[in-house]
Amino acid sequence: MNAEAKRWFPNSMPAPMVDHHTLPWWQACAEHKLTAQRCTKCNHAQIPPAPICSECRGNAFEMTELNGKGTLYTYSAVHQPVSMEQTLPFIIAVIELDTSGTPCKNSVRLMSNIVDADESELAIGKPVEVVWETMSDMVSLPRFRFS
Amino acid sequence: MSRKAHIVGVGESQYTKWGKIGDITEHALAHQAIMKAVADAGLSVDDVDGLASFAEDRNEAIFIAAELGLPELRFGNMVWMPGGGGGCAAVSNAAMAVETGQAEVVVVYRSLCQGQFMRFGHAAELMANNAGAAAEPPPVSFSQANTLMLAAMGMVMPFGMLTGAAAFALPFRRHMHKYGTTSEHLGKIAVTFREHANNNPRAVLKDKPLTLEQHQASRMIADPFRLFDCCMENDGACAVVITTEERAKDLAKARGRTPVEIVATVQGAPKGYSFGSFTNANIDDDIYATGGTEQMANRLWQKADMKPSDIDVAQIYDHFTGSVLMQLEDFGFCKRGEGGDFIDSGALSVKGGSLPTNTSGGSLSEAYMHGLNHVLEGARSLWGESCNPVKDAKACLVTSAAGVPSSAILLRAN
Ligand SMILES: [Zn+2]
Repeated sequence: MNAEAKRWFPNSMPAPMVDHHTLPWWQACAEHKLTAQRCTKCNHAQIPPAPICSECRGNAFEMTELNGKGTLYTYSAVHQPVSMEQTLPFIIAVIELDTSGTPCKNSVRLMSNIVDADESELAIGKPVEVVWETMSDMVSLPRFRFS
Repeated sequence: MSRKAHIVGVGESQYTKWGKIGDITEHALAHQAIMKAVADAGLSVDDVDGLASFAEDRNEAIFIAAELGLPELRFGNMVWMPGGGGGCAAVSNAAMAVETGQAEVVVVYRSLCQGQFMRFGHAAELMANNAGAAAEPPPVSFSQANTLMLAAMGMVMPFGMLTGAAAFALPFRRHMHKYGTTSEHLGKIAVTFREHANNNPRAVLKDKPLTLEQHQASRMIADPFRLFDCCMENDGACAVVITTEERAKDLAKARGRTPVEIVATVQGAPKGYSFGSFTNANIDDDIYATGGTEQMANRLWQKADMKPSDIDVAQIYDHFTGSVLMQLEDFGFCKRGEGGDFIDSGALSVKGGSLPTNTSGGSLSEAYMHGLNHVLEGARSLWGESCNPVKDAKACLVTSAAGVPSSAILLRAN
């Protein structure tokens, strides 16, 4: 079994709800590509993708692939189940994503999870890297572990 | 005479634990609270010509007006977004309506019989139950977000972000990291509000004392928030009646009360805030570890030509203890990062504190009515009708939920 096939959360977790603008981000996730929406006019990076750049109000974008690295911005170990079958506690985390090596002018944060970590290891500022959880052929979720 | 908006009456139904009110519908409970508040003001239901609400109210003003037989509905209005950020904004909208002459008597109401409905945080149970009912659960797929709120939630729910506890733990965790704030600071907030509730016959937790030791031993919900850091979920309804100064003066006189003026109101959110820490991982770093209400607070002080030291009593929205602490900083009662010291000083207690706060017990200990009960208590604290009276209180700050787009009002006894 390769590492990519590892599972941390059950399929009964809430599934993504998408609109016209966020669907491309999720489609990239299905290919295990972590992306940010980049404004081609001012290089502002934003997640979730939107119809307009909140910095320059431009409306031309590219989905820019990121390197999957980041740091832990904040977190909470949650002891209430969201799905009946999940292991508790689970870690909700905000990840500050590294956009270096791309034209993006800013880093951008993503709400996600820390996996494969003990609660005592959690600390703001620690480096993390993406690991993919394949939920189905259509849906993969970017989670993070300490690197 | 002036049309400046005043609060003239307040009323509520019985408050109970979540799901305990099953023999009366949520909108019927709203009628109870509205009629009690109107009677408290010395008015008749026939005098009401406006209704205002918030938090995706299931009980739309047009139907409440029709059911109550209001002679004419001249103003019906609701503040955007779910949750408790809009309570004071609903009061603000009511005040605008009377001050601009759109209506004479506007009632702000909130009714919650959550056991009769599926609450948002419980959606997972519903989904799990549905999934369990199917012989073979379908593969994980996408569904369409039909509102901007669902599109925003749809980005974070797959990671398990469904509850307020988790949403507001995130900024408070950073506050702890930056300033050394502790769980004990939070415990002292919970204990103080419970002491206030222990004197309040309306409080759901009136007969449940709470110690700091019990707080520290209570189970973790979303680290660092323990059980007693989280507000209750309750059934009940409450309402507030707002009218012009001209009418308020006569009504107050008849009731032997001091007129309570809505001096200033504010609502809103910082740049790019969307639904705050619930959905937005990209709140500006400068304000991430705050309640997000500092800008708004500064506007409020400016509009009212008042300052934090003018406030005698405060009703601060307390869905979570950490949000109280960060709002106290936002509103300038202490410096940024010094909320823990401020709590340690005993400031929030009605027994000699410098800023008696949540004199009814708040959402943590009186009832969770999305914070509209804080407005009721604000008026009572200035009428001298609080269960925990603050002697000669003349000015009261009332705030709504922080960490999401918020609102606040300043009340003054004239
Ligand atoms: Zn741009």
